[in-house]
Amino acid sequence: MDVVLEQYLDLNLMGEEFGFVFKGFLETLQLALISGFLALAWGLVLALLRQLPGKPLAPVRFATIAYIDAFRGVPLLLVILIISGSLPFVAEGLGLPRSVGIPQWFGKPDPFWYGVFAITVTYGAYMAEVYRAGIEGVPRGQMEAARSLGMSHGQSMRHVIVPQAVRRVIPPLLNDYIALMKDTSLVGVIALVEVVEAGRTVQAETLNSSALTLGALMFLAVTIPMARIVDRLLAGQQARFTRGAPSSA
Amino acid sequence: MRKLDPRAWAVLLGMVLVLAGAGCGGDDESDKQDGASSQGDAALETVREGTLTVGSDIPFPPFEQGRGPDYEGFDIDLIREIANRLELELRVQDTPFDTIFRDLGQGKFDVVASATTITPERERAVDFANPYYLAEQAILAEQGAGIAGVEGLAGKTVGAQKGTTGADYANDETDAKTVRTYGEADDAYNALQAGQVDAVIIDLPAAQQAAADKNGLEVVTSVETGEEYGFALQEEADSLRKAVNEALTEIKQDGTYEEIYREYFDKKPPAEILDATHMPS
Repeated sequence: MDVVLEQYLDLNLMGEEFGFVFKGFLETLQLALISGFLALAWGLVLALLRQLPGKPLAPVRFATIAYIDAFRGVPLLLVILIISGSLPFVAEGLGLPRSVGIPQWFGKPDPFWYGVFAITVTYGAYMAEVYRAGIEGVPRGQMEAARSLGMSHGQSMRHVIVPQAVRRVIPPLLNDYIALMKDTSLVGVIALVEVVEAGRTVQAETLNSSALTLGALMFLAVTIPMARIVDRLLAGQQARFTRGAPSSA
Repeated sequence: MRKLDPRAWAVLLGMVLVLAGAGCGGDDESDKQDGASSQGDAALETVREGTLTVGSDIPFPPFEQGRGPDYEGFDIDLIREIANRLELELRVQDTPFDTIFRDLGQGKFDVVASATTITPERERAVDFANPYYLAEQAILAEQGAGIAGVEGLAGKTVGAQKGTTGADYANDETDAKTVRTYGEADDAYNALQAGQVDAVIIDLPAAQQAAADKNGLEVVTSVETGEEYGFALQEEADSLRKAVNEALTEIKQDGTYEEIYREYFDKKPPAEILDATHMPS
């Protein structure tokens, strides 16, 4: 047991390496914020494409469904490795500038942007399904009413359906977001020094694993409050949709 | 209770079958272990009786490569020869390099044979047997990249494998702008080919192998570091370490070492390695 404490809870080591691990955690947070925002937006776009009406647009719907199926079915780790390995060659093949194949925008290294790209395309697919549940959960009569008032499909979506749908799915979206944040650690395989990779670097240098525990604690400091927020939102929603409760809080 | 849907039964059945299959695999494993322990009457204490369990981060050609369980490479052939002479069955376990010494300390293997350089830092956690290879580092870059030597790395992005002496060298001895460390050597080579790093610092034979196998890469220069590879053992395994050292000395003296060395490096081994010894601190 002493060995476990020494290996995983060496407080001196945690103190010495706090700065390095925390720098990694800031990288994690930036990655989670940027790719999370993009995935939320991309997911909504996918969900809307999937709901397009009419026969002429059927190919768009099918392509969207194929995309969502593909990215929900492939591990994010593989997507990261494939994008990081192939993008430089793809960009070169297409004659695009080097800064597209090996992006180093805003002073961030290229593994960061490969991570942003891989997480966005993958989590966009997950989130599209959440949005879809919300859109399909809005009673049909809403769309019919909007259309009979003379709104186009797009206008009805924008002004009537989506605002109601998004409000319903905020808690499950936040859940996905927590998962996304944890999955940012996978970008470590392409040598981005995020919090887990920072911990593993310290581990490789000191032969002690306490920096990993430190990283776990930093994660918890953010994810636990987020989980509580989800709980509160859900409770609020429950109250709103329960008979006899005040209609709006 | 509601009756289960037939499809649900099918899924359940599938899961049971999969679990049962895994269980059988486990039984096989323990049978083998029993078999080994009954025949192994050597007094050597190992993690599994009668077996020399070896940890190695594969692939790292030409030192460790191939597909399990019959891996090959300079380290693997050498440790196989040692295991034979100690009358132990060899079992090689593929494992990540960055935690390899910790795992050895935890008792997951008897020996680490993974192109490991003997360093004082590692010596604090494990013990090394006598050196079996003299190593240098090398700078690997894209052909025509114009990196001439260590000075040419100033301001560049340099790749290395995590936890290696190459990574230490890149951090401590070069003016590289950033050092990126990868879990596997191959990931570092791929990043180099894709232009994500400007150079990779890694053990010379591995760099030469990469230059031969991968398009457009060349060894720019070797870096004399005076490193010695040694098989690492658990700290209190003195009798096993002595036995390994004796077998290694035998192998060096009767020409088997030279045979294996020539197979992988195509030249005569340096005389210094044949009588090199190392005392654990």
